[in-house]
Amino acid sequence: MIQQSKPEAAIADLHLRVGWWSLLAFLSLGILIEAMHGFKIGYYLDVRNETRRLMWTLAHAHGTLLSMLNIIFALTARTAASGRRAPSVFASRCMLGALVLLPIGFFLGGLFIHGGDPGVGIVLVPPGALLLLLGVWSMARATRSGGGSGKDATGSDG
Amino acid sequence: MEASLVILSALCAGIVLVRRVGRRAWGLAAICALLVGALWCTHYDDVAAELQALLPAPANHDGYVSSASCRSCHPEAYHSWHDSFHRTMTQPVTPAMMLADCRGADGRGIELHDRGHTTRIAWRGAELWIDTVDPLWLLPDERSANEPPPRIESRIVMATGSHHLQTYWLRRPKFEDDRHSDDGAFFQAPWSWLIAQRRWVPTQDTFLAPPSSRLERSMPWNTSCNMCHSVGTRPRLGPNIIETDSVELGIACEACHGPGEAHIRANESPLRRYRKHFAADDADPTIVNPLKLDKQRSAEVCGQCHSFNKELDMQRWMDTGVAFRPGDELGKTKAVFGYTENPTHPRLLAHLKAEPDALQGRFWKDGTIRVAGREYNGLIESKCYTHGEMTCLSCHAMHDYAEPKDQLSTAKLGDKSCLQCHARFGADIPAHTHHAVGSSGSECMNCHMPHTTYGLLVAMRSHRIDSPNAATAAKTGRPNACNLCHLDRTLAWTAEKLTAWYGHAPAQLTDEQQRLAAAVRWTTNGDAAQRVVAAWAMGWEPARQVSGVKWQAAFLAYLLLDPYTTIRQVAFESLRKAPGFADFEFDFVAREGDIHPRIREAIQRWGRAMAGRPDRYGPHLLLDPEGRLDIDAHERLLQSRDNTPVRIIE
Repeated sequence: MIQQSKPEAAIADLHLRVGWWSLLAFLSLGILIEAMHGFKIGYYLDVRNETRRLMWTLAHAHGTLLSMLNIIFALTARTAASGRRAPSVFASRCMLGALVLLPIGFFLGGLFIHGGDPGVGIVLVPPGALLLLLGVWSMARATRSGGGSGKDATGSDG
Repeated sequence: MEASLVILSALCAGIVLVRRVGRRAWGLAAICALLVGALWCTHYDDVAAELQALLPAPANHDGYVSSASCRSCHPEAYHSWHDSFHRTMTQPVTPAMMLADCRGADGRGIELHDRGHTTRIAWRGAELWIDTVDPLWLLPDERSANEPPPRIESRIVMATGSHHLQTYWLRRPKFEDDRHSDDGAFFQAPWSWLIAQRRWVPTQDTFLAPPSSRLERSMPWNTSCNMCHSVGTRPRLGPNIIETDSVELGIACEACHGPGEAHIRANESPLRRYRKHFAADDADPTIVNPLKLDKQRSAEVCGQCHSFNKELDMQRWMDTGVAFRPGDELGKTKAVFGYTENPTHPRLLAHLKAEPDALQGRFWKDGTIRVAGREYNGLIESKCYTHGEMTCLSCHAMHDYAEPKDQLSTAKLGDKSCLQCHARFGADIPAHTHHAVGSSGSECMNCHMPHTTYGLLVAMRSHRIDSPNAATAAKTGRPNACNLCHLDRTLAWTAEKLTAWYGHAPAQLTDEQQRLAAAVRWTTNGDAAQRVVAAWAMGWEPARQVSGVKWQAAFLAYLLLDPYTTIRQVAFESLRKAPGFADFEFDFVAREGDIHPRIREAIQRWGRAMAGRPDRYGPHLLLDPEGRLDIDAHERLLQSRDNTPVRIIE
């Protein structure tokens, strides 16, 4: 049986937990959106609310995909002991930050709209996107073949 | 959609192939599907591009950008405009937008006959073709009674209208032996489609004009309708070729807001946009908002089209298009004409040379405009405008409107439009109106904006907002609001009421005006404008509720023989609402010989409906208590009809 170092296991557990719970949350948002379609809710479907519809669709899509990405992240962390370098704490924080900022930014952007412009909540999206990029970049680096150790999990060597 | 279906079908075929041939066929199937889809898309693009090549060339000039650029930032405004009749005023002809039946019973097209000439219209795939008399032959110098008219076969490429009627524009091709340099000229098809009636009618019979036994000429779109029915069109009539181009067909965003390029450039910055979103005053100097203009400039935005006007510099218009921009002073680039006995303006004199009765046709004798679509002329004659702050947007809204027909603001429906200024009447409405609250006589517009303008086969509300006056009606012949509802009353009755209620001075009335119901006079010995307005009013529901529903049918039946085709049609539409006439059929453009039997039947039906039970009678209606018409008196009235030619060309 493969033994994992504590930090890697903790990261994996955290991302699994967060991933599945956020997946539940954003799938629920999807069901809410479908219900608004079903009941023809003007607040969501009216032409004047076209921007809200777009923003919430994006919130649902990004939230769902990022939740799944966090689950994949957790599974990747669990394979750290198999000879690959483990994901860093830095990557973990980035992925969690992206999971919060991107969908929440889109959701808040759709809550208060100004014609074709989303509300100011949309300002959360660019930093969220940056965190996602950094997180994926960090993951990509960590999965290079070659020795792995618990040291990576502390983020000490980047 | 079609491309997706084709690709899906190809994929299904691929799956079958895979099952039979093996996995290697997957790649082949996918490539085939993509190729087929791409070819299909290309085919459709070719159709669209081919039609586009026949239309006025698209050209974003002088800062215009077209409505497509407005949509992403103003989705609600874009969609409310998209749902309006303004957008569909001019459209490229495609099967999807076509309202008319061009396929006929056998699906092979239609053949129409009028004034000895035949027209054939048929779809060829997605292309609409017409075979008809060459429109250039119809121009005055081309007429020759001794030669058979030359015919042309050409594409119908544009359509105008989508509300009352739809009319079509053919692009006349240039022929090898053609001495005309007209390639690129659009002429109106000789037949148009009446939308509610679902039938073809000769285009010239859609205007109120004296009867004519010959085909009338049609002005090329390039030098007439485009001025208001499109955005930024430049006629550009060259010596050998016409190079008309246009920013956009139909009446779009920039017709009212002005060219949008500077606005788009300025608002590319999100910081600027969000500063505006959170600013107390969101005014943006890079674009015109008619709501924020002063009353003159605001009304002139609509007045650039909704008035009887002419460009001051025709050559400039020919070269560079309409010079007026929203926010400008209209008088600097266009002259708006009212009624005058002594025209002196050079542009008006030039127009009167081509159309000598232009003023007599368009205006009542008191100077009130009577052609529909020229509401600005009425507005600027109204005290609400001259002494108040009223503009078009006091009642209408181009985006937040209740319905597309009149585009009345949802916030100012009903009497709210008037009460926003005349609030004192709202406290005790019957004291002012002398009609019960909730009755049609209590509605502001029914008294102050009667249906005395005409166009598109219906009477419409006058936008010269005034009060009923029997003396004016007696003097000018303009039907008054009271008698357009109380059709069974005399003008003397109206004068008496106005004197009693509002202290009007007693009106000087002729014997006939005192003896006969106003509507009886208008429909029998009135001029064509009075006849058409009265005929329409006889079918107007508030008037029917107030004045009865049976007795009018006799007068409407006689109007089926009116020399003006449009009056016959309007009378027919009102007649169909009378008891016993729901299934009555009548072709208002039929030959006179075919009309007589229909009139006899109408009279018989009316007789059966009355049958000793008239809902109104009396000498003022020429009806005895048994409901019999005083034929002699009616005939005498008909003989005294005002046959002054009237042309109301909208």
